Amino acid sequence: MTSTSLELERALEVKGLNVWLGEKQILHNITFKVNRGEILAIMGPSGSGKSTLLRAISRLLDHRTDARVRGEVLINGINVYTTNPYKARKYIGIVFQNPNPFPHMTIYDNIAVGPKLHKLVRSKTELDNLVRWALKSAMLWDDVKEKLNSYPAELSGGQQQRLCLARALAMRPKLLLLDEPTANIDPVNAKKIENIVKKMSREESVAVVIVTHTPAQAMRISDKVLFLFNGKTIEYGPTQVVASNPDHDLTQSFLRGEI
Amino acid sequence: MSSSLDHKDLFLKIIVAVLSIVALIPVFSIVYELVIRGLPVITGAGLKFFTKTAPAPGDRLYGIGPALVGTVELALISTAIGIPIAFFTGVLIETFRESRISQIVNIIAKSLMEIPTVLIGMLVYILLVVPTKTFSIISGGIALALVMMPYTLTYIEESLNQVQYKYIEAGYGLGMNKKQVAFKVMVPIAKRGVVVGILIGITKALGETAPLLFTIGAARNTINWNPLEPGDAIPLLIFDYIQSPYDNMKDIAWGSALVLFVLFAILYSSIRLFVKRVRI
Repeated sequence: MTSTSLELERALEVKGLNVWLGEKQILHNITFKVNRGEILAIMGPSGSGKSTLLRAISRLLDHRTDARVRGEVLINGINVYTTNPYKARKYIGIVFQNPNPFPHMTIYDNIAVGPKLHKLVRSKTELDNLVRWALKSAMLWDDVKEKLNSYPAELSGGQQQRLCLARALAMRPKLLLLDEPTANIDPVNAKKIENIVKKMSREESVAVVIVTHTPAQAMRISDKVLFLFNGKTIEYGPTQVVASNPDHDLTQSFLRGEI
Repeated sequence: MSSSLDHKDLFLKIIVAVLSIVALIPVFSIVYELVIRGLPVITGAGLKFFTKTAPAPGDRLYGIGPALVGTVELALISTAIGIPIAFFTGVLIETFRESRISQIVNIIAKSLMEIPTVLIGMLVYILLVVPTKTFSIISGGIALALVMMPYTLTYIEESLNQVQYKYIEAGYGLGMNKKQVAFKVMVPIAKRGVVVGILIGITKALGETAPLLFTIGAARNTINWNPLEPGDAIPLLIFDYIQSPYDNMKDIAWGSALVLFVLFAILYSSIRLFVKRVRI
């Protein structure tokens, strides 16, 4: 592979990222890469800085006055910290830990709001098709096709989370950031979400960063893992290697469920 | 053991029940007095009660036309001025919560609430009535706008503040900017609180007497649709007439008080009926 095609392959590159919230340093010198079609799992115990890392990548920390970020985040080769954050987020789909569909919008509008905002579609038909595609991709179409004009409060928690995933997918993101998307939902819906994420990565070449605190989930879906502990990278490499032959004692204890 | 808990429970329930009744007594007695004293006046006079100009002392039992028209004009003027300012200030304060300027604006705007409304009336008198050499409905409307603003602002800001951060973050996550997050996410989710805040401002202004004392001129002999000229308002009329030595005027004051009360009741129940809470 030539170096130019390598550049194109690389959807996300994080270089020497440090984050402080107030006086406390949350992340220390984090570096990793995710290629298109690749899934990186960021795993680690609670409080290790996983969610902060995702928010730093998407510049959502800008909205916290006490946050300070140093380092580089390149999405498709563009440094998000030197560009307009609202435009940078156009290429990113984010799903948060707690389902947060907009309660005042219908199911249809929840999906349509992003594409309309960024003018991704030119006609109502195109928008309808995109909404249908996103809902089908999130395996939600059969559940909601009869009630697109209902409100998300009518859906179960797991369905709401898949609605949030569909909302993110409708942006046709190059990069999908998932912050423990299955932590607060039932196992059946969790399984569905894992399958959707794998499919999006394989078929649409989306680069995925998924934060999880369960090693099993990381092993099931990821190509690479980054093990974060107290804001530091303990181990980073192909999932198979880290799972079968972890370098570090901490990784071993985490994989055994001891921390 | 459980029986002593039961006793405590019962005791608390009785206290709550008694206190609730005590709190409701003034409400019911006001409604009772208004209906008993005011309703016969209105039904006796019929439509004339609302359409005719002020009566002579000791004469007839109707004629709040100028006050009714003035109150409607005051409501429109004060709403048109006060509500947009309060709304956009509330949104700005909430959107730029961390900025020093919005904190200062917040404090200044809310300190208006602490100023006695009679002083607001005096301020408008000095700044508008004296230079223009005339009392006018619009001066009264401006005074009322200053009275309603801090209430509406506080209410709107509080209801925007209660929008859960997860929805705001979802908005930013989709690439919305601050303005889009404010108007596509925060305001629609808090819409009921926003509308209640607006109506609280309007009712607050409609019930005020003090800011009108030196501003609108209590002109009740002609029905005046021109806001640049003097006019009357229902609370001002009640204030004047209830102190009158003439029975007919006292009775008209009671009738007017019932009209004011019904206006308030309509405003409040319309919120409950038409503005639905967003289901989370």
